[in-house]
Amino acid sequence: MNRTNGLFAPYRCLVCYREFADRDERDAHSAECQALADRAKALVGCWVRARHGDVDVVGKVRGVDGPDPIIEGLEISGGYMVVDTCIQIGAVEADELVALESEDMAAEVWHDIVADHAERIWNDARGAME
Amino acid sequence: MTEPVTTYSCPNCGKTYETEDECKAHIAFCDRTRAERESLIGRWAEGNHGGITAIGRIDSVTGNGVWIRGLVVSECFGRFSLDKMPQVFAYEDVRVFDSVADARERWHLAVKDVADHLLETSIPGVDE
Ligand SMILES: [Zn+2]
Ligand SMILES: [Zn+2]
Repeated sequence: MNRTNGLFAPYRCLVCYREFADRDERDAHSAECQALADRAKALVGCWVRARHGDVDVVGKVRGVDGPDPIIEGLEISGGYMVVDTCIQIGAVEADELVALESEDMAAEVWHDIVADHAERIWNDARGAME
Repeated sequence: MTEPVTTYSCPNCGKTYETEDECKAHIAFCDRTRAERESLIGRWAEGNHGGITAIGRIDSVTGNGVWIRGLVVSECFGRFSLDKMPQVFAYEDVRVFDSVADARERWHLAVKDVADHLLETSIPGVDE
């Protein structure tokens, strides 16, 4: 028997372990969460582009943690660029996690993404420079 | 017994010399550089200093280095930062651009260099 008083949330998502007070809510969330995990698992070993908010990532999917792909590759977000072997990114929308055909394609996409960021940074700063 | 050592230093940049003649020669050079750089205030420029690249407009001159107001590419332990900075000091290597378009192009190239470098250093394919 489960009793909910706001302090005790008895239902957990089996994918991300988030807690819910309501079972139906948990079930609805879990279905979505599982779909994200399945999508990420299907991409293990593939070159991908992933995005979450201002964070852009290009690399290979190495594994999955909960619903999120773990990517080895390159990351750029507003102010920094880095190589990382273990980037966890919560790409929720379908267009935020996209498979890429090849390493060459990944390099091309990386350069396009970086150029976009560079342009945005330039435009943001332009007023302060002039 | 220690002898007191007399040194001569440049009032612009603080470099020290053991002889007055050496110091005077340096000061003449340093003054010239400073005057040249003062004439560049307001120009779009790139300055490289200690591994940092700054691109923007020359704001002021200190010693014979310039302060650039603009964008900066820098590295710290493999993490490259792209920052907006009110002031970055550049001393050794300062180049001016003819136009804002040139400065913008140079910014894109500087960022692309980093993107290329990161692409070369990340080799996720090695395990296959
Ligand atoms: Zn979940
Ligand atoms: Zn000097």
